[in-house]
Amino acid sequence: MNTISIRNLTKRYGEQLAVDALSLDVAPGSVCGLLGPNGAGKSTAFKCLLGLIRPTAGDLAISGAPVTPATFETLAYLPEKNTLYEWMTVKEHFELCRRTYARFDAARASELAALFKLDSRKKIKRLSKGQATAVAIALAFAIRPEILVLDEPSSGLDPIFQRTVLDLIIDAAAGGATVLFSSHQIGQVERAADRVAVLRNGKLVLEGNLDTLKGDEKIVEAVFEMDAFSPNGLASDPRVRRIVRNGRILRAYVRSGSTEIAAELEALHPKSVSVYDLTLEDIFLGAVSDAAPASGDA
Amino acid sequence: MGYVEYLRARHAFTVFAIVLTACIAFTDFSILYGIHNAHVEHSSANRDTTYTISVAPGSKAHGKAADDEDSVPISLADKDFTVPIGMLFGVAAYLAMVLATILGTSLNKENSRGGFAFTKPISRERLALTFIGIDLAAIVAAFSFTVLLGLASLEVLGIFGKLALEPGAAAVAAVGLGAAVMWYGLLQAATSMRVAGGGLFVGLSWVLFFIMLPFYAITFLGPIFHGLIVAIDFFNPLAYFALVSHDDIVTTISLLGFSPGTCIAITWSLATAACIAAIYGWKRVEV
Repeated sequence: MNTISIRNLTKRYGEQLAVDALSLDVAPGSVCGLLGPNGAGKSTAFKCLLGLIRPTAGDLAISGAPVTPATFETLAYLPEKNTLYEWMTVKEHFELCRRTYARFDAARASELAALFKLDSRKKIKRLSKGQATAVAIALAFAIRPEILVLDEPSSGLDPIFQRTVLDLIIDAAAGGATVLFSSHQIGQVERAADRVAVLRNGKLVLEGNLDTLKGDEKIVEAVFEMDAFSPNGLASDPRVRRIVRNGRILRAYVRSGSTEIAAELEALHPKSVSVYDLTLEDIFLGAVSDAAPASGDA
Repeated sequence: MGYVEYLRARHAFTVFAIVLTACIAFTDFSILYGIHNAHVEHSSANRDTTYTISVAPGSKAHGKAADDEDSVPISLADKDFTVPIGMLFGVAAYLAMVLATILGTSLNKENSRGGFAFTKPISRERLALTFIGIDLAAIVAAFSFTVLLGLASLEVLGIFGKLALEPGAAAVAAVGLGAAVMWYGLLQAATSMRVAGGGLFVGLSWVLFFIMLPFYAITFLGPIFHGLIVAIDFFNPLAYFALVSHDDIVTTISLLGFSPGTCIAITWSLATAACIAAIYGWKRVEV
């Protein structure tokens, strides 16, 4: 049984389709990174999943059952926008969570407050955006959750604390927690997630295991002296999934035979030819600029 | 999560208590200071009937010279009057309405924090009931605090013995508190489904409810207009609660002509219905 199960989730705001028949599963103990441009529907999907907004259609389950207040005893959610109480102090927020959660770990909370260098006497309105985010993260992890739904968890944080958050996510997953998180930091997702889903215009355009998605695909990049060059029928080669031309640069996304393709390009007398491993950023950019859905599990 | 509302209500009550205590202390001090410096000048023509009270320091030097033998200190306790406790209840109810309107948008305030507040292991109904319970406790506390402070003030002024426990006082308290809670409930019902703008509703409610009172007397615009005003005033807490004093007895009257008993029933029923509507609306709000 998947910890998080989303089946044909659709959310419509009047004429606007925010999420379009999204189906996504997150297995127990796995870390799923949700990527997508702004307005892709990531936050809406999270809110539907947690019952903060009503979906237009679809079935949603956490640990095999619809979300109830009891679900939140073991689930921590970090919203995209900070929703802490500005007039309350950091300490009062910790006290609030202590009173609310049976499994709140005060020692862990202190540890996290120290980790993020938080002054517990300060009111939230006196904190920077990054510090306020850090408070929300500390609160989320202080209940030692089994499920974490994090919407842009490192938003506003400096690179050092971004790494800290990443470590917390990896540590939680190592301890058996299931994590679903969104981020614009593709490097973060690549480092922490074992599974990736990409949303575009509310639609799932790519989903799968990160290693499988990367697979053996490589990028063969050729830089020519002039704009006017012909790829010489490379586009029709079955080994080439996609060709992108940008001025004097040609990139061929190659499923197999990258060495042979590179040799073919060398014959066109470019200035240089290089072969790269595919990164998640390449996969993401390919997915959001390409309408065709793909699956890494195929 | 009730802790949030506890902190919010505690803060509102603390400010309320400090301001009220300061006002009453200042008033008591002014009265006592005035009495301390006031003397009654006995007219040499008719000592029994003519009194001139001057409260300014150094007043003895003013006008026709009045020596110390012609002046005696005055005391409020010597005066022939009573302080009906109904008046104290009435003032306390009006002040409780102020706190009720401050707390009346507590559910609305949570909506902008929904991502935090609504993802906790507590149902929205239970959370709403907790919030409302805390707010009502604060309103009753504000009422009680005002009454106690009023009694303390009477003691300070040395006129506690003038307090009169008239029979209608309980009705004044019940209608006054009912009106405060009704106002609170109406604000909750009007704002619980909205993500923002609670403060605007509070301000508008004060303006609307006060404006609607004199409108009730306008009959020359026809029965339809008057009927509309009556209909609106049915939901106006102030239309159920007006203090009148007669022969040192303070009672409450309703603009709508209802008896105090009916006013108690209507205000508390509307308050309950409004709170239920607020909870229902809040349960459905999307954030």
